[in-house]
Amino acid sequence: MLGKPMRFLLIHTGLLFAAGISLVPFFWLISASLKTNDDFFEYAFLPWDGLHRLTFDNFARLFGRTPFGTWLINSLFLASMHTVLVVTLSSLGGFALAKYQFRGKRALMLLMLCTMLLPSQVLLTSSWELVLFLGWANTYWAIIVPGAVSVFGMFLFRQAMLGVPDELLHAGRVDGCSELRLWWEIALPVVRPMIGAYTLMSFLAAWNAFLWPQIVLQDERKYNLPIGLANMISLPEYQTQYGVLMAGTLVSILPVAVLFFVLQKDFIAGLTTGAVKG
Amino acid sequence: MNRARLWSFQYRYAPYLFVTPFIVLFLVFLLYPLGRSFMLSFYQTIGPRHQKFIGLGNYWFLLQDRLFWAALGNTAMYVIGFVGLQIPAALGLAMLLNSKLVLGRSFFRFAFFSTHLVGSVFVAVLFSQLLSPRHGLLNMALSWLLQTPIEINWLGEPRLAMVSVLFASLWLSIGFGMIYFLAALQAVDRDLYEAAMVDGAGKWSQFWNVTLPGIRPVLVFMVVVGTIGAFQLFELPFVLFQQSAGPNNSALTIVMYLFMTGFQVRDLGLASAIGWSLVLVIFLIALVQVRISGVTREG
Amino acid sequence: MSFHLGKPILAMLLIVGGSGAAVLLRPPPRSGDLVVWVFAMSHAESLRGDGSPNQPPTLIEQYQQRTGQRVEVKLINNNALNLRLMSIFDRLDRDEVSGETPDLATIEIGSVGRYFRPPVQDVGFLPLNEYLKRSGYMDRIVPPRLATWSKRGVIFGVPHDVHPVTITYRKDLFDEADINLASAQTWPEFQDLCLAFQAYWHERGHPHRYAIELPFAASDYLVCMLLQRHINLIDDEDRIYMAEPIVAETLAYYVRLVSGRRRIGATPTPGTNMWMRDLDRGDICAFITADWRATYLKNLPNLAGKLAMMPLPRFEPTDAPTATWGGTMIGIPRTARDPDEAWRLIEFFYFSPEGLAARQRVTKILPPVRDFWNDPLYNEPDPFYGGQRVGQLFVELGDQIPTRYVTPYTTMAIAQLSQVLTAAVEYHRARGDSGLEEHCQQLLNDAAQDLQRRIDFGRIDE
Repeated sequence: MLGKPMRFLLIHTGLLFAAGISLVPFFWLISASLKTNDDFFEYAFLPWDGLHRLTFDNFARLFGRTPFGTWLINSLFLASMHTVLVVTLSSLGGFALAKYQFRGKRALMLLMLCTMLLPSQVLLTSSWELVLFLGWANTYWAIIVPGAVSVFGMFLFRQAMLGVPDELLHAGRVDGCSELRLWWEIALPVVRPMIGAYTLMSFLAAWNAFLWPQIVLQDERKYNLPIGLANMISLPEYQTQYGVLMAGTLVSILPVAVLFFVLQKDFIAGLTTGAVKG
Repeated sequence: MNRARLWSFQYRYAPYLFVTPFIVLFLVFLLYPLGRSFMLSFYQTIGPRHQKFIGLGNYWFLLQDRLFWAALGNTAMYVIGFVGLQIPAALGLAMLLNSKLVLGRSFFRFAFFSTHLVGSVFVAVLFSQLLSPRHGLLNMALSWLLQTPIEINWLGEPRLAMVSVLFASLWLSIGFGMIYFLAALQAVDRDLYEAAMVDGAGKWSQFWNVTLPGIRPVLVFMVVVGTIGAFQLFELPFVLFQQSAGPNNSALTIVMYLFMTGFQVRDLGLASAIGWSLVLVIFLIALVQVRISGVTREG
Repeated sequence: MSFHLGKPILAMLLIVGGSGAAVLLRPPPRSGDLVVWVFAMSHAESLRGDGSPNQPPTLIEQYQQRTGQRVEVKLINNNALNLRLMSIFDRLDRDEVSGETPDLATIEIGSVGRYFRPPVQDVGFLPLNEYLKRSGYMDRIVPPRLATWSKRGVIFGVPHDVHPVTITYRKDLFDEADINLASAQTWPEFQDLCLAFQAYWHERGHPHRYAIELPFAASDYLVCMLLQRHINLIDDEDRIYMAEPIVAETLAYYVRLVSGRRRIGATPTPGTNMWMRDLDRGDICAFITADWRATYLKNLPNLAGKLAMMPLPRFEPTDAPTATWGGTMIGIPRTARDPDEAWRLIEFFYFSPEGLAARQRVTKILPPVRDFWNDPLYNEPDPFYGGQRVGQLFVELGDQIPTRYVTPYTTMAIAQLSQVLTAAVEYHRARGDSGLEEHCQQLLNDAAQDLQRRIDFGRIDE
């Protein structure tokens, strides 16, 4: 059997190798966004013997010559709006599903369960028809309103809300709290980890959303980051301006990375409590 | 009217009020489009003005459509490759990370998880450069490793197209799977391992008899969810190949075919049929998977 | 109060507030009186200049001076442009169309097929026959070019170009091998000369020097050869010619050009404009160049003086000495606010001397109006090509371009041909010459059958 020091070495070698594969593309991305076009071809990462050549030019061109700044704000708005709505609706609904008995509850939950197995793409064609009918084509309504529905979120919060002690709720009612206040002041704080986890999950999903927004949005000024970047990559002008493209990718990843870095404890905690029970 | 009546009113109806927003949206934006797309799949449509009922015509067409089967084949190969590689790799990494000997665990955790934060669109943009034949990082690394210039055309060779997609997709997803497995591993009772060791079981036996059964729910969950998710592959290859289906359509996936049919050729009826065919395929496979895992549970 | 719900959701609320305000307070875009959608930088630059200082007045500035109409040019990614335009056409039966709609749009030849799918009266673009007749330009535009952008004789777009095709080659390298490539009149002669060329250089330390770019995974040049022989894979009436024996014969011939002992073709390095590098290094010494492609070569000053051009060799004397590759049209969507005004802009851009001058500042591609070919610009000797009058060559060939039809299924047919080609090359690599023609015919029959199924399935009763 392998001795302890040997195991230590092997485990860490494996982990470091894997971590390398995970992280190296990020280093490459950062260096690519700072290099000039010539250096891009010459050096794999940084031009070690010409570090003075590193420049923020690519970023300047990114924000100056393309609507990138607009896309960034659009993405921030769409993702955060989606998150606030879906967390509100899901926690409200999950609370009801967990702590109340009402008519039709069983049927509703069964129906919800069935739809969870469906791939969302089957809805694309008729959703587009619906959006045309509502006059919502090329508006943010078409993205935000349908997005506020999340069966997954409802189930997640139902699971979490089951852990809210009934005694607390009862005490609240005795005090004369309305049900809504019970939700806001008593139930929500108890499921705080789940709020944290689901907030980040939803934000991430909305931030990276591409397919449906691309079908709906037609004005370039309304695009979000994934659509903007995907279009840039096929414009011949940007196919050779690699630095600008990479700078755009970097800026697109940054907000989510920062958010997660700062809030990762909340996220991991919420995720794992859900997963292990799941 | 007094406060007591008001209070009891809202107490009785609160749950209905709480779920109403969800139900309204659920009906309008989920159930209705679901039903409607099912209906649409029996029509031939060209733009909103031309809609003709053709019964099973769309499905009959798809059964003989070589593009449809090519897309299905590409997607199926991808699913097998993806699930077959992601699950063991994620599990393996999680087991490594779970060891008591590990230093800097939270560094590793963040390092592996960070790849998931990059959405599939941005991964595609990034990898379109990383896989470039001349200045791409992958070929440069291989050249350095093998000490000979390597210029593999990852994105231009029809046979390598799906491999490139798989590669990018795994980079994106393994860390995410690892987090789940790590949590599951940590929930396995340590005592069971000690009991096994006392019985004289070796590392492999411990893995097979203690670890695997212990994480079984998460394992099944990951496999089923991973399969369903992998069948829906679209954004990564679409952006990677610059909004096309790759060289000689080698990266055409089912959802991509759905999108192209519905929004480029503009036949919403046929596209709906493609969507429902996908539902059927996923349903059958998920059924098989759950059955298999259920059977072994009894055994 | 929010803190009791955790930092993440607090962060979200802050972000919503900030970004929401930014979105709502955004000033609405001031759109011009006329909005033109283009997908290529060269089109945009012809219209609005490249933004550098000290340039003569741009075309749209001149137009504004003349008519008072402000023109806005929007450069949009090709896929996005077509997605948007098609969804606008989707809503045509509702009078209100939310969102911005263009007055003019340029469409690329590979994307235009889908607009021809509905019956003629439902096509999203306005028919331009009347406009063309009234302005007198119907007869002044090269006729084969108008056919490309028409359906059943109804013209939906004004062609932007002609795009005759030549072969550009490294004259210096061919001269050194004592080979006069331009003397080849037929493809077999051309192949013999190239083989001699390759033999010469393989003995002198260049074992991987190939004569001409001919990929085996893309059928563009095979389509060019077929066009020379006056064959469209699908014609204007949706009749399929893909399985004709002459196509199989041409296919088999092409396969032997790229595989086997008598191979003269190679696949260029992938990547944008990497093919120029191949030409510069002499890895591939000849390229099939439409006029739009040839202009890229000027970016490599290295090549000055080393190049020459020749027309395409043929199979039969009745074949055309050139084909046409690529193309753009400009059309007026039915939703345009003032079609007459839009037509006036087309006239200014395409048929006026000012328009010609603006276009020539950006590119030397041949305009579709034949009278303009007398312009001295197209008659100058070009030092880049060793003094050859390449403009004149393009003018001569421009008169002889074959008619090219575009249907909703053309792009698919070309894609299928690519797959057939790849399969045929694989067959040849494995089994050699024996049975190649039959196998090609078989592959083409399958592809044609599939195509026919699709056309039948997608047919609308008109």
